[in-house]
Amino acid sequence: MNVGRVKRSPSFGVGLDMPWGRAPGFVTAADRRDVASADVAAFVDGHADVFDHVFLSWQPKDRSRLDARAFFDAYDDFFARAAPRYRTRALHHTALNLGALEPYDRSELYALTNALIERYRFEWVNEDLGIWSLRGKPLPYPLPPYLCDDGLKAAVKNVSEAMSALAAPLLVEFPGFAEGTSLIFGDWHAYDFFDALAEETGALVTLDTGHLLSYQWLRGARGDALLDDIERLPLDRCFEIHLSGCAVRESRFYDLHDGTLLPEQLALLDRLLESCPNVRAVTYEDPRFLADGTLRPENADSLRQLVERAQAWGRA
Amino acid sequence: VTLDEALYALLFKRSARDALARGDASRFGAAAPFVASLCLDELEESARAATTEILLRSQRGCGSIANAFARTIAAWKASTGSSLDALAEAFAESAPFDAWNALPTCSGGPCVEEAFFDFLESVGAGTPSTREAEYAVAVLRALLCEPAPTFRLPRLVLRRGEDYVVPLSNGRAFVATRGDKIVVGELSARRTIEGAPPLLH
Repeated sequence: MNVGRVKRSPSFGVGLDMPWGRAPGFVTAADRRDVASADVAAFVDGHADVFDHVFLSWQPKDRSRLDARAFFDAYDDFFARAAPRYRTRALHHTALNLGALEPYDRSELYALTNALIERYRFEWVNEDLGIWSLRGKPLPYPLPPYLCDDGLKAAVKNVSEAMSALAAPLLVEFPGFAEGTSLIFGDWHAYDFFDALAEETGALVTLDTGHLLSYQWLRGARGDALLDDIERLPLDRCFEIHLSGCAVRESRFYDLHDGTLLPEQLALLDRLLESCPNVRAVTYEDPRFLADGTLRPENADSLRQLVERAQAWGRA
Repeated sequence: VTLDEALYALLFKRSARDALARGDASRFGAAAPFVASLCLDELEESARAATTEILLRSQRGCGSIANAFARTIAAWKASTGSSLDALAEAFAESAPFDAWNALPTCSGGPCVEEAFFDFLESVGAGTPSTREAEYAVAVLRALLCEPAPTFRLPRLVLRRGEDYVVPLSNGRAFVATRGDKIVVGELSARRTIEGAPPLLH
């Protein structure tokens, strides 16, 4: 597998959702510049000896025309003040709408993203294979792609286009399946669909443990069966594994992004690390921290277990 | 009917969901076999989340539609005995909703504040004076928060040099001026509207 210019050595990192206008995220300073909130800066800088890489989740800032320069203040501040010691940086997109069937003009998004890639030397761009909007209407959460032949054809076209247009490798992420709110069109098994997509596009992929478990949960799997079927995934194309906090409440699976991992996520991580020969990055997504940047106590055990696994993986 | 057209209709149009609940999947054409297998309860939950979120979603510097039109929404709820979910559903069913594009890549249409105002006008929600005043403040804030807005200039807004002005039907007007501080106020007094939250600039 050609991993292009992406890194070759194992990397354990952190991924951060960065909403605009509230902490933790990007906020407006007294001089009206956009800056990283103090808690984010303290957490990221304070864990530079724990994490090798960092990714930021890109979100539209406002309703102005897309212009990368509007993001420079915030990103400059983040990388100068919070992450100067992180040599490996990546971007998580949220607007490429890779599962869309309808025409969707991404040209301005590509231009903006490429300007950010160039300025901040992002080594890869990650994006869920989801439907983020419909006919210009935002959705509260990305829906899974249309799991049918037409949906696969559209997704292959979208991903191929994005791979060509972006100035960094695109990692396509297996999408989440929220019970009760993920409308599933089509009868493809989502693992087979994702495998076919990776095969036809040649894309590198991200496997999110919460997203994989959410799909199996939705299909009725419980216990050890939640880890079944991973051989149906494009394991040899997996470059990155994501872990964000999940929970099961009243028989529902929730991808909460609260930093507290389920035992099943760690078990799945172990399985994936054994099965994915080209994985290079393991990313802890959206840990929760206090105002002074210290990790919330309820996340401590999750991070400790991840660090142990990352160290063993790095040695291997 | 394509799959995305069917999904759009099912998420945002009560009429489409009602048709499916009646067993009438034929209106979805080629998408009918896919639509027929959907769980109606999950569909309702998804639709409620998608539509109500549009009224609750905060725009940076402007707040949410629910806050911007709080008095008109309260009046509509009181007169109809209905919930915010029902209002969101009615808005989503309307033509002004279809005309609105939220995304940066879908430029040139009305902003959500204008689309919602047009909907409120069409159903006669609240009083005309309150509706108009809430609209004026909402669209002026939206304009001042966006250096290069992707939405069109709202149709009741006039440019006066650097100012944006919304004349009201009662002869008053609201004005927005960009300066050291952003001020949204009555044209004659140039004062900040009482009780309005600060803009995030």
